[in-house]
Amino acid sequence: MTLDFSILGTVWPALLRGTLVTVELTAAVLAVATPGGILVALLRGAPSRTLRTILATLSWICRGVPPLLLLFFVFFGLPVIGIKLPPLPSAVIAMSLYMSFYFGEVFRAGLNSVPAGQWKAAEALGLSPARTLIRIILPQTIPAALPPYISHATEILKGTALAAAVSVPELTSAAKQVFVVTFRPFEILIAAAAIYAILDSLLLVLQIYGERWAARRSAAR
Amino acid sequence: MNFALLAEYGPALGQGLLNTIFLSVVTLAIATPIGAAIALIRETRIPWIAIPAAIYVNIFRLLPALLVLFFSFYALPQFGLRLSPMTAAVLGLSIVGAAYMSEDIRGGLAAVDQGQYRAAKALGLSYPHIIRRIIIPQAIPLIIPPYVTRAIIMVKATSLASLVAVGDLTGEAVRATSITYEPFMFLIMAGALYLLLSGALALFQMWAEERVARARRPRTSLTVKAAQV
Amino acid sequence: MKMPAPRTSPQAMVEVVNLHKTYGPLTALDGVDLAVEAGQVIAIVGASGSGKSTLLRCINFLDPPDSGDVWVDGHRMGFIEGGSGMRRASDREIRRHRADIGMVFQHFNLFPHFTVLQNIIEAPMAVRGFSRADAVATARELLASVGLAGKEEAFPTELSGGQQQRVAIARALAMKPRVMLFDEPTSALDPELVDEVLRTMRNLAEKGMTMLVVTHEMSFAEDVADTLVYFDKGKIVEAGKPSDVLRNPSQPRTQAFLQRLLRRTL
Repeated sequence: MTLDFSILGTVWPALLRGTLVTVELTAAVLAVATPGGILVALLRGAPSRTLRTILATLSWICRGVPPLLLLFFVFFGLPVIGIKLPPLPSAVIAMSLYMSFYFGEVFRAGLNSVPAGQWKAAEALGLSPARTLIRIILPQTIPAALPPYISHATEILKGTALAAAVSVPELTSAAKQVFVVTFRPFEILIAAAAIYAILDSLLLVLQIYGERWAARRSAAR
Repeated sequence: MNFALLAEYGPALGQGLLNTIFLSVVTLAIATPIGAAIALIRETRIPWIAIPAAIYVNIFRLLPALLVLFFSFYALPQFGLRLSPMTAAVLGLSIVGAAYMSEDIRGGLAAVDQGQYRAAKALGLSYPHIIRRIIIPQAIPLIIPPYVTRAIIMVKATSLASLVAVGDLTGEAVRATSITYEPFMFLIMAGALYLLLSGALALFQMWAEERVARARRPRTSLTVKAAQV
Repeated sequence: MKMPAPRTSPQAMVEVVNLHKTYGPLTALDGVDLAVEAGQVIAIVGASGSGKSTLLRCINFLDPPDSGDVWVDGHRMGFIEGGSGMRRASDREIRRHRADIGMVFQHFNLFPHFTVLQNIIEAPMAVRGFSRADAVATARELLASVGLAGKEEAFPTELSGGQQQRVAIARALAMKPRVMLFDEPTSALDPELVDEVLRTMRNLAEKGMTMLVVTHEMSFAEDVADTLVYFDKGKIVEAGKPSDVLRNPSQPRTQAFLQRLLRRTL
């Protein structure tokens, strides 16, 4: 069997559309799960014991079951509670759900890296808790939280392939759709792999810069 | 809980669970030695073996595991290699798992104090001897926690096999769900079973850490003084 | 194959000839010549980063030098004498020669997962091919000689720093080395534990061991060493009888260093 990459000349528009959906999905999950993660991190420090227990249990469940299962759960479950959504938003919700808990851990560690004295000092200056959080604390969590944040972002990017299972036309699913009709799975999957590698590499470049920046920031402290 | 449905689909779900356990065990059994071998090969820093190993690791960590499964299931037949769904899933999951696992193991090896290498070298010990007798025993306690975390991720990743026609726990739960229109029951049961599997691995971690700690616990506790660094 | 540079003291136990070593842009050794007679103790002093530790690591080829020669007990390190001259030694041959040179580290570097006894017998059995019984017998004798009889089954973390360092000395001695290298052996110790290690080293010197000691302990250098070498920027600036160098340093750099040291101890 000889390989024939000329097939890519025919199928590239489909792969390009898939790539755009993959990027869109990744961006949407990041946009939802980032504030979600901050919320989880803050609530994990909440005074209510019940709340913390509920959150810890939810986090344990969402991080303990396969993401694919969670995706099916949301996909089949939302219509039952009266929410009818197209596949893409369902996938965003499912992925954001568990990524919020992963990010929650990241931001929690970031918050813990800020000395308690910073809260006290801001309080002594009469700053409101909200202002202290946004202006004083969160910026200081960035050096500790940025590297794991970006590494989780690459997990999101790779994880978007799961959305193929609920017929979101992202890259993996687009690749499958074209190789089942062209009978050239190897060439097309290689092309898809190359696209994932490029997207991942972009994030990795960001990570390298982020880590350097973070190292300089924490060294300056 | 609909018991009639449970009775009807219970056996399929049970079979799915067995398939998931089988996939997990076989994948871990293949990925662990390969991952360890790759980590050791990369540690040697001998270019003609270390560089290919590094390329392998970094390529497969860039790709979605599902894509790799599609390769082994859909693309290999193009070369006349038609694998059963289960074999294709084991192949794809092991290849990806080994790449990640080698990084965890390498991290543990690298965390051993460099002074240990220097002292062992100064005594004239050979590299294989140093790795086997000095470095690995010290790296194992450092490797156990990330190893178990990785193993749990790999068990969860076996659910991808359902997308290449393996009737694993996820696959059977989704099939039952889509036939019965019972949206939550089967998926929740499957979720609980996955949590049980992760729990079993967490227990294994506690057991392994305890065992390692016991192996090097001083026999006389009276002479214990503060550890010097 | 490059011919060795001419030696000035062919009878010396250790001779270093025009040794150079760089790490990237950093010059650690910049043409070092040094001869140590059998049974002599050389104290090497100098600021941190002056290249003293590199010298020790080059002598036993933990870090092979870029150029220059190291002769230990009539043998050129890193080379093997064949029928038609010298050839480069294999890894295995370098290891065998390295085993003749004992080394003691600042941070002891005992193997934490081994007991004291296992720490001492591992290399004699693996490298020298001693039987277990012989290795254990030697280890027990050595432990007694460093004042740690009865600690065979202890783990390193159960010992004080001073005890750990004495185990490390016993571990090196178990290989029956011709030369001992000490790389700041007391720098990581609490002050009250320094003496017990220095006493062990003094005993060793009295028994006639050839020793190169990188140290900041000036009184040890003065009492025990035959020669004191002052190192700066990868070069030997001054060498001589310890009391002479310490009391009447001839080089301004040595004077400045000793003054800094004095100010720190006062």
